[in-house]
Amino acid sequence: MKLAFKIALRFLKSSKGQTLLITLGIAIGVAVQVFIGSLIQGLQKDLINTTIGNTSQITIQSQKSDKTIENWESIMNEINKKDNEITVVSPTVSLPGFIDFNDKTESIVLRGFGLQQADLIYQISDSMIAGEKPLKENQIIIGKQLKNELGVNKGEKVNIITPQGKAQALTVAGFFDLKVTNINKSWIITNISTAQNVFDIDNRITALEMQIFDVFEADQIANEIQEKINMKDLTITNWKEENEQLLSGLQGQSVSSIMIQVFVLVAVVLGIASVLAISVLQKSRQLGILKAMGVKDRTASLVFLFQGFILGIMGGILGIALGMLLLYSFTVFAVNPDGTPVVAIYINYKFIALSAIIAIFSATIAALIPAIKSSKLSPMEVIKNG
Amino acid sequence: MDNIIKMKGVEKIYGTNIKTQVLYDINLSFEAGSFNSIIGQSGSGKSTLLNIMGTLDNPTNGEVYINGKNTTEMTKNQLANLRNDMLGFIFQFHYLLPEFKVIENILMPHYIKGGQLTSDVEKRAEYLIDMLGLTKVKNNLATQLSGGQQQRTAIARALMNNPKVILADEPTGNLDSDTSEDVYNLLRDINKQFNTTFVIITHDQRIAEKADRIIEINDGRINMDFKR
Repeated sequence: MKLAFKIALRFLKSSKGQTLLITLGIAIGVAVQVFIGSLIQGLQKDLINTTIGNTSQITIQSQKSDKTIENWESIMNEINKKDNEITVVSPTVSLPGFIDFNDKTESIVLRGFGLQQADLIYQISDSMIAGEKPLKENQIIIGKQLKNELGVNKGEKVNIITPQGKAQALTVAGFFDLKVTNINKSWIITNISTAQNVFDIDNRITALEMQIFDVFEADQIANEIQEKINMKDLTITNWKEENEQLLSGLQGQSVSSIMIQVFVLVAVVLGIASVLAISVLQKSRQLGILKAMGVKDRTASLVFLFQGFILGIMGGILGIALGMLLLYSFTVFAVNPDGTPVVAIYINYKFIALSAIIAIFSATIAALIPAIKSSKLSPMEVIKNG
Repeated sequence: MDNIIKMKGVEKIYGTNIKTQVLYDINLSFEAGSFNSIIGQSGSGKSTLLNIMGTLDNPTNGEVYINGKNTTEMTKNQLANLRNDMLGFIFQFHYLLPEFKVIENILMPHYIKGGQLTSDVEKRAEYLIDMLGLTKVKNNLATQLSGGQQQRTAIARALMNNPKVILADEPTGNLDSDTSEDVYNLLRDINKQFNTTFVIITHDQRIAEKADRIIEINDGRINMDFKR
């Protein structure tokens, strides 16, 4: 064992050019793997974040004709017991209506939130462009686009008309910009009790909205919740059901990224195997005499396995360094006009460690063919041919 | 005296389709501590004989006994151990490991045995280095030596594990006559000092004549066996 390692090390050291070349080959393979993998993971995280980061990821809604949920507090308690998986549970009243101001009427959705919880989902505080949040009774905030269409100013009163024809005057406390025109046009945000008042639904709500830690477990968590609570007149939906296209897009991306990585790996393995196979021929004199002196076939093959292993380690370390450098330069040079990187790179240490382990493993595997060759070499071949 | 090597009815046939018989029914024994030379023309089969004796090659028929053990029944690993322990090889080409220093090359048989580098081992290596006049170059790589130094290093390496038998195939084939003479005197000294058995193939008539026994091989058969 020790002797095989020593000889392997010496063989690598004595042909420095060759060693450097293989190491570089492995390193570039690992670097590509680390770079592409991290890039795609960052891209996907980014995409998911922008798509579902500021929405409800699991939603419980009513199936009744008036769309309301009565016993929502007990449901909330039940859900809150799973708080290690769920980050936010936000009760909300969300019903359609009309807004009337200066003889202009627009159709809207009045959304009553528990503002503290809803802030965690929709980042309302960060989206305020003027005024303050509608914390007091009969206060509302409206979106940027709607404000422009109506020409309403802060402090003015607007009429909200329900489908049943009931009108109520509410005060505009501020304006928000949630970066989606549709929402900025149609949402009117208020506190929960104001919304309940407007629609005359007492203490009932229309939906429970949730965000979770691991967004990809949405369907599983939704199932668990469904099993736990009394689902009479209720439905539960999660973002995965509603975004199947996005999901299949992401999956396609992952598959193509893995394909690239696999082919890079195959190329690297073939490279190492062929160089080491040649090196068996180069070292056949040494192997022959070592065997004549009593080196066993197993030790002779270990010499090459160790060479692969050592090359894998060196290439892996160099490759990670190179990959990190690539990622770093990508965040520095590929930037948006405002200086933020085009894709926020997400460094997944587990993935990087895995890449290194795969590199070491495949380098050792690549050394298998030369190792078998070396094991089969007979000292006579060398001694006869000089 | 005991026979350290004994060959019984050894035959060697090369090739499967076109068969070439190289050795015919060789029966030969060597006494422990003797100094023997084998002579013969190129292609007579003497190198094959030596390789079979050294368990590097298998006889097609017949048996080879080393120190009383039948080597034809041994596994490859057992043979490797036997070679490491009992036999030392010196070839026409030195076959040193160019990646290693002179002293490392000499210590190689000991490392192969799985031994540690103790002070006793180091002393023996130093003694051999000194005896073979390699003190100045012991830390050089094997490639940085003259031909004579390389061959002397190979001899030191063959002696490292204190083998019972040294098999040498034209050990001075690449050396000039003065250096050859030196090397032979050295081998003779070692033979006397350690009681090592020597079987040496040589072309050099003068050297063959210094041996205790001369065996001439002709066309795969023993043509002459002369004991002094």
